[in-house]
Amino acid sequence: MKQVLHVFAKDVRRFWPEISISLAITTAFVLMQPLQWKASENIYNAAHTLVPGFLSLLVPVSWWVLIARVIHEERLVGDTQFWITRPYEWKRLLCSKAFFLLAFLMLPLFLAQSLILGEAGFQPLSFFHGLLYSLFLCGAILVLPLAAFAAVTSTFARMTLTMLGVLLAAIALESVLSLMFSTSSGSMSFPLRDSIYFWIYLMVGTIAITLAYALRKPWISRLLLIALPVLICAISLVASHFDRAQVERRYPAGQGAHLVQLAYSPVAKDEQTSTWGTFRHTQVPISIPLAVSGVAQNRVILPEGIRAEVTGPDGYKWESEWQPETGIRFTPNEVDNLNKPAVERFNIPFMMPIEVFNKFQSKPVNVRLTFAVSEAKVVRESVVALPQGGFAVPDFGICAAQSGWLLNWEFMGVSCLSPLRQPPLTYISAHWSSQPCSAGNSAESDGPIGDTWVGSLEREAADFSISPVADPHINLSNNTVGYPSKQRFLCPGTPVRFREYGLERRTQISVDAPGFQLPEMTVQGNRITLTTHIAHIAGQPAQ
Amino acid sequence: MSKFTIQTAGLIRRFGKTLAVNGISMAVPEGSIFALVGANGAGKTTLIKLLMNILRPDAGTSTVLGMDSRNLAGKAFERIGYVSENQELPEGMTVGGMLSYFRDFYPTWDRALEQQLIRQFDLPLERKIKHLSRGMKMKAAFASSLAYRPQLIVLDEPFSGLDPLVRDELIEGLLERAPETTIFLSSHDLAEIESFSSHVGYLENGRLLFSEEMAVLNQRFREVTVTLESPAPLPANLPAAWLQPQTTDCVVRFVHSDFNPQSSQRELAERFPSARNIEFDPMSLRSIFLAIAKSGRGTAAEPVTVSTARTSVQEVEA
Repeated sequence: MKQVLHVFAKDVRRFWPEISISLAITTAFVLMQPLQWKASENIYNAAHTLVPGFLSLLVPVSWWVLIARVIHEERLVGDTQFWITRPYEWKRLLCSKAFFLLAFLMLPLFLAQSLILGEAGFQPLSFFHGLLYSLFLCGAILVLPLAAFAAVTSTFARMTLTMLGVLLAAIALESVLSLMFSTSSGSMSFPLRDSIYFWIYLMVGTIAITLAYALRKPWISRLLLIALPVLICAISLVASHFDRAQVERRYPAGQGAHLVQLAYSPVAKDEQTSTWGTFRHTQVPISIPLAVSGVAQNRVILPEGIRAEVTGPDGYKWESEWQPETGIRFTPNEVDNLNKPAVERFNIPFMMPIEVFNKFQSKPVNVRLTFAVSEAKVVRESVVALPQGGFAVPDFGICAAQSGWLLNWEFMGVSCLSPLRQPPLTYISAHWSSQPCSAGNSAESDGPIGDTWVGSLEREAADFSISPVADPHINLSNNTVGYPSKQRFLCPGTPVRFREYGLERRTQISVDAPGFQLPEMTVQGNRITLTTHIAHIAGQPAQ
Repeated sequence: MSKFTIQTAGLIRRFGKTLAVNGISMAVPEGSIFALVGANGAGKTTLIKLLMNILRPDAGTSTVLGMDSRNLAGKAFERIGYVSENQELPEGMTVGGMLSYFRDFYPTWDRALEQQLIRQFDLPLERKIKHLSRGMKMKAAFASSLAYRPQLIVLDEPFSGLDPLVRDELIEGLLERAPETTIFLSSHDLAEIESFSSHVGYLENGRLLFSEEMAVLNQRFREVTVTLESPAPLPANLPAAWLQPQTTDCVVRFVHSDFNPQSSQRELAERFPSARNIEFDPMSLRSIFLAIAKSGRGTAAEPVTVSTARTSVQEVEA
């Protein structure tokens, strides 16, 4: 321990200017970060948005310099360093460097995040576990790779060039793999698989640093670091063969029939065209119009993956892999008396390889879509009469009425801050007033409803971010299609409803689209045009 | 307890296709001042780096202070002082800061000796190392490596490029430590090590041509001048220990590499019965090495594993 502290003290004396600059940047970040929230609450000011954003970039840059300086002080590459023929114990040297990074990167970040949380109105001690998890993520995602690259290089310039080289190589590898394996449709995300990748990354990074210190053979650590993306790509390729099994396990079939009614329901429209470039496009987007109804009150169905089975008139059958599906929610039509139609229509897209598409030759096909869905139900509902100042929403965060820009002090929306992570999946709604509230108007209970969805069903203790305060984008103007376009206002006292959802179950639901007419594809130069001729076909009930 | 501070056996180190160290076997006696000499590129620095575990051997073994050199790390360096002309120092520190920093690493650090070395080398404690001259940097490195009274001091070309004054100061500082330590140093300048080395090893193209006690070496080599009555050709079948024989009129000259006051006189009298005069002149180390180098180059000499025992040039040239 004596040697650890001795080397640590030397590094502190040696790098006090760098430490001071890093701490000054962190301090400035703490001071400026609240301006960003205030900018979104009140008058728009570019400096208030840009400066905190710039500082949140500058913090990791200062870490980069500090990590490089402190590790290169006793660099591991080369054979002329003074320390390698002195009584340095590698374990103690490694500990002293780790201690340094904890003391001057992690501890200040912990304090900064605690202060910012406090400034945002949250009690930092209540989020101690989340703060530690946030530190862990910042350490793993920012500090670990920087330390690993510093350990296998001899100078800051070499470290920077190596990192750029690895970044370019990773991009090239990803491009090659996506071209080779046509992964443009993407693949579903599985928390287990993602966490396996993360732990492999963490393990390899840690082993690379430890070996660099233990053996002083940087080529071994370099090989490990080079092998890491290759290893993750290889595991990803192998794991993709087990996607179906993973979906079956995570989204067991047979429990979803009653959750929602889905039916194939083409809209009567003569022709629809879409055009895009051919570059890297090996997949054709197919869109199936569906009518959705029957979602139970206080529930929401979130399709997270989709799989298509297409059978041609000649019996040729193609089955897609599970493809990600995001941004679609099947909701009950009674929510907030939105005057939603009893049946909602969605165009559900999936990707089909061009060679498969060509085999069907634009003939009518039978399509069976299977969704991997999460069902969520309301677990908490908070209705807040919009006050002039801030207000707390349990389990969500701290919110405030949002003024308009350009010296317009009318409330034009709601902005919220959530501690350490995105809020839980929440439906927010409020009635707009069509007249400025300052003219004596009050909340209109029958005004048009502004609503939005924010947050997610699955959350870790903290999201990866230098800032401990998440600023979920709340856009209450998203339910105004067809409404005359004019400015709307949220008057003080307007009830704002926060409906928090919790995961109920995961399952699969299927729907058939018989006689679906695939679009016609024409290729002109480097452009592909799809033309859809839609026939009138009666809807089919979901299965 | 080993009588040798450093021992190597069949040490090999390659850099690509180049054999930088080619099967070196040698032993450095405890308490000796062992000078490893050889031309630039002979493999001296590589050998020292192998001994200090800065590099790993491809084959062979070596022990330093009784420890396998491949395990030399951490605490082992509490007993070893290493100074190299290529070694970096903590440039951002002041001299005083560096000495103060190193002090806590060594349980045997002698504050009085540190002060003595500071005075002796006239070290500017407040100046940053990066602002020092090369000679002053070497002095600072010496001070930081001598102050803890190491059992072994390893110096790689320590005097290279230094002015004579600094060189003498460093040698003086070094010799003051000599009684209590073993000093192993490399140099390509024979003159600078001749005055104080007790042992010498000669390295050429990665091979140790010989390794010997200096006194024995000086005793063993003589420049022989035989003056004959009349001009005569060189006799055939000259002993292998006679290096670079040449004749000019009535004078035959060669280097005797296995001189013995009694037997050599008799042997020469037998070989040159018409000799009018035979002179045996002691040789400088430089002359000895030149003779060995000139006669040894181009021969497939085998390495010699002797340090205190006498080694004949016949063996080297075998």
